[in-house]
Amino acid sequence: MSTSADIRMRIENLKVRLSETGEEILKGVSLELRAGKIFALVGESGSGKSVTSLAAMRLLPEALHITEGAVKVGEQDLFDLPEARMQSVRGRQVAMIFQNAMSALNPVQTVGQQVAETLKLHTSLRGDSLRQRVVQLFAEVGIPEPDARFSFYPHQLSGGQQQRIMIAMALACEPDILIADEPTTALDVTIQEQVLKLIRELTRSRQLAVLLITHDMGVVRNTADEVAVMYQGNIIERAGVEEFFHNPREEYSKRLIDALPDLTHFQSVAVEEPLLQLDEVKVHFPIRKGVLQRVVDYTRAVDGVSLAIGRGETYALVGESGSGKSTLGRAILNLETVSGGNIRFKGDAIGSLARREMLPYRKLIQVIFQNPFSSMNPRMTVGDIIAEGMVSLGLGLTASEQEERIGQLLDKVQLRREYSQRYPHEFSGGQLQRIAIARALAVEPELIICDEPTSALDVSIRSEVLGLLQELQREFGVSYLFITHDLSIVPSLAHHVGVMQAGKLVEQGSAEQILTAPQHPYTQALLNSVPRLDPE
Amino acid sequence: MGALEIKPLVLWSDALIYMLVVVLVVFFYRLRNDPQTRERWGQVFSSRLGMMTFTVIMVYVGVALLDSLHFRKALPNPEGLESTEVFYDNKVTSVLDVMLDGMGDRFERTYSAPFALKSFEKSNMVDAQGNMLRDYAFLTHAGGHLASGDNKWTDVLRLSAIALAWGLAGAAIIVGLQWFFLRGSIYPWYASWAVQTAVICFAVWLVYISHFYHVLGTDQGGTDVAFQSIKGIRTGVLLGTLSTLVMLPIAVTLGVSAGYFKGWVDDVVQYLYTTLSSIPGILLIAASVLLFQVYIDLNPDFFSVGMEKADARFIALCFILGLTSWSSLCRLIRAETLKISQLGYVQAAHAFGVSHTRILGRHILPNVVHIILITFVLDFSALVLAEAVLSYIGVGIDPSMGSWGNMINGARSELSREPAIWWTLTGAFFFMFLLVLAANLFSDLVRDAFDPRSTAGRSEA
Repeated sequence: MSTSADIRMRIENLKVRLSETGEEILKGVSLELRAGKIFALVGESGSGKSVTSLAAMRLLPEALHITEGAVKVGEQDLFDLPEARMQSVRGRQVAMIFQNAMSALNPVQTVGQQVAETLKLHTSLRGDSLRQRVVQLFAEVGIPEPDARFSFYPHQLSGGQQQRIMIAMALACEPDILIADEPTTALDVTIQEQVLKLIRELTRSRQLAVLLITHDMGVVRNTADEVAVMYQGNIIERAGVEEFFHNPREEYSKRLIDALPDLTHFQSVAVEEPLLQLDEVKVHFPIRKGVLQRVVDYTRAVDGVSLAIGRGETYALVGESGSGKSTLGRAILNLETVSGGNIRFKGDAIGSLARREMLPYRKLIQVIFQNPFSSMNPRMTVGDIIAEGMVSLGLGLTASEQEERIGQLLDKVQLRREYSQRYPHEFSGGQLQRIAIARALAVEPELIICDEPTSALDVSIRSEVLGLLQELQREFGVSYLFITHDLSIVPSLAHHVGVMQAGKLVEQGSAEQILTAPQHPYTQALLNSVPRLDPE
Repeated sequence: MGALEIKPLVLWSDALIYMLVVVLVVFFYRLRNDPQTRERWGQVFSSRLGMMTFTVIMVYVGVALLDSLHFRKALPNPEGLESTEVFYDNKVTSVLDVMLDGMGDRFERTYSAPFALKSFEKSNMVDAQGNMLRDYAFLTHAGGHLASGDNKWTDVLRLSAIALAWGLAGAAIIVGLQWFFLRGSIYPWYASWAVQTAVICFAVWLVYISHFYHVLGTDQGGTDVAFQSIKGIRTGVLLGTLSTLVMLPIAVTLGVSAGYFKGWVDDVVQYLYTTLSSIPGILLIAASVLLFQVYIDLNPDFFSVGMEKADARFIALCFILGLTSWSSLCRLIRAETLKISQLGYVQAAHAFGVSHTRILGRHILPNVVHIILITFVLDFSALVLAEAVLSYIGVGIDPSMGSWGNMINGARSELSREPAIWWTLTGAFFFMFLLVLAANLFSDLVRDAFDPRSTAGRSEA
């Protein structure tokens, strides 16, 4: 067990208020960071976890101010230091890495220069030895060919490598404490796993004290030594990681843990007549060059995909960003021109219909988008938004029938009927996604394309929305094409799974088959990176 | 027949500006239902600065509207001529002229300094003995009421005190009435009332004092400079609004269709605005104005009074400014439309089979309105300044129509003589500065409230 001597940073009873309204954002947060240990602060958006780290570093935005508490590094209270001294604490003693590496790096300087810049500020290294040190750091954070990468610009590196550069920059001045604010949220799962592994290794080898802020329980399970759950500005539960996952005390913690996939229960597969059939579907975008804009090549976003979705069935299309899964969804909706292959819906070819010819099928195929905030016109009431499809597809309802129908739909998605008079900005993400579901259901479709419908939502809300989708499937027998990058939601939801990589379907089969006995190496890599409740 | 017989005269620009006012009122009345818009305007008006600058702008607009009600006075029948026909004055008068109480009719011979009693230049005179002499002549309309021993400045102070008392009394009534109706309002009306009081006092003082002195002196032709500056308000305000009115439909139609339909429509629109913006604006405007001037000169029968001719040129200038300045707004709207048409709600509308017109009208247009609004207020002050520049190089407003640009143009050479004639420039500058400053400050507030980037930043903090 660690002793108090290991404690690198101690946050004591930290309270933060909103300057304008006096609303309390943090209600007395205390925690200790120990050398060689990762302390995970978990919570959903708005729970105050990022505010905790920013307050500790005295980097709060002007609208917030600290009312009480202390942050001690060694014996020194950071709140007593003058701002000039504080600047040397940031970087030399405490380093931070953020979610979005691309926006934290300067696009017009090479990554080597940027890391060297940090070193110059805090050390006396110059010239060749400075360069040597940077290359050494690059090697340490696992960047291939570190010497050549010195003169790369940020956009020439992948997202994972950019995050590694950020970590190298944070480590440049040998800090004792590292604050990582959602360091892997913007990354694909396979890369996420690699970056987390790096952070784990560095914690051990450099005896860092790490504060890891995340909303992802899988990340916590695989990385952290100690966990604290934040809820509405309080730490409601704190425990060692084993203890926490096997024996959570709070109801809320249980809900967070339940969001992790259970790889033992699957949806049973019933053989059904296919509702939608894709046959070698291709979507190619031309690349044009020169004055005359001649087509020189094609981007093969979707390159020969064949699959079938049965009535009342859920087909999960899994893949990382850029694999072409969203484009395929848009192609089925006829929002993207299909360059080759056939799309059949109930036996009718719908792949290359004109706008007008597509109209009868619009009623039958609907869509739910990833970002509920951008998928509703901010200037229309919820009622108008839901009614839009009914009106434009000419369901021929009278005003009172329409109103009744909107009410029923809101009931179905467990929202109050009065909400139809409100505007989208008055709702939370989860509520908005329910409205989006109601909008899709309004025209009684037989197939709904769900394009990452839960990835913008917090974990606890995510399971509610997924539950609602399943309930509606049982009630109306609607089929889903579920596009996602998150394998963890697949087992409870999908009957069939297809794995996409670079525009091709590399593997497909029943959910059980894919998740328990994957054949393709890419599927195996994806599965390995999924955090699980029981790693053994 | 009464001596006050008048014949209303509606100039083209008068009709346009009143139409614009009606359209704007209807537009804002309809926007009233949109809670987001209401909230944002609420934000603009809940700041004192917003209230004050808006009041200043409204005063300018009010003056411009009063100055846009034109009529011609009936001339008294020549003596001995018994005719039932009424002849009307060729000089066009506006309601504002009447309210200024003849300020524009008190001509001197030539330059005179502010509050001067004598002319600025010597002229030949004949004294009581019949000798020719050259001296500074007394002004016809200034200081005539003074006895020979009186101090001019004591008199000015005395008159100012009287005017101020009247002004305060008037302001008390007007502000008091507003106070009665707006008591529970959450907006800082007192800021507006402060401005209103200042404006009313100033106006009463100016009109009252101008009976006795030329507050801002007179120009070369002997016209009161204060009067000219006030007449410049209509030109400035109308030019700003009418040009924007011409520009908006072009920019919005082209921008939205380029961003929404993409493909060859986009190519054509882009080609148009890149071509247009690579021609130097001033040259294009100068050439167009000169062409139109030739047209006016060749067709004198179209215009019954001189004012109509000047008005035609003015409207032409508005159109030309509008037609040449749509490219930047068009570019902004195209970019925003490109962005919006990729958003979920437009995609969802496509998936529902909503028609193009409906998508454009319900989803795209309402969501680019903030850009249009911001550009409208920002461009307004730029256009007022553009008028001054154009008049300066001689292709602006017709010289017979008062405008700040013409005043500045007339004053430039006089600045270099010793002693300098500074008051024409000061008058034009003061009135223009106040308008442009108010418009700029107001547009900053509007932009803060409506720019999604600034609001996003605030809500996240």
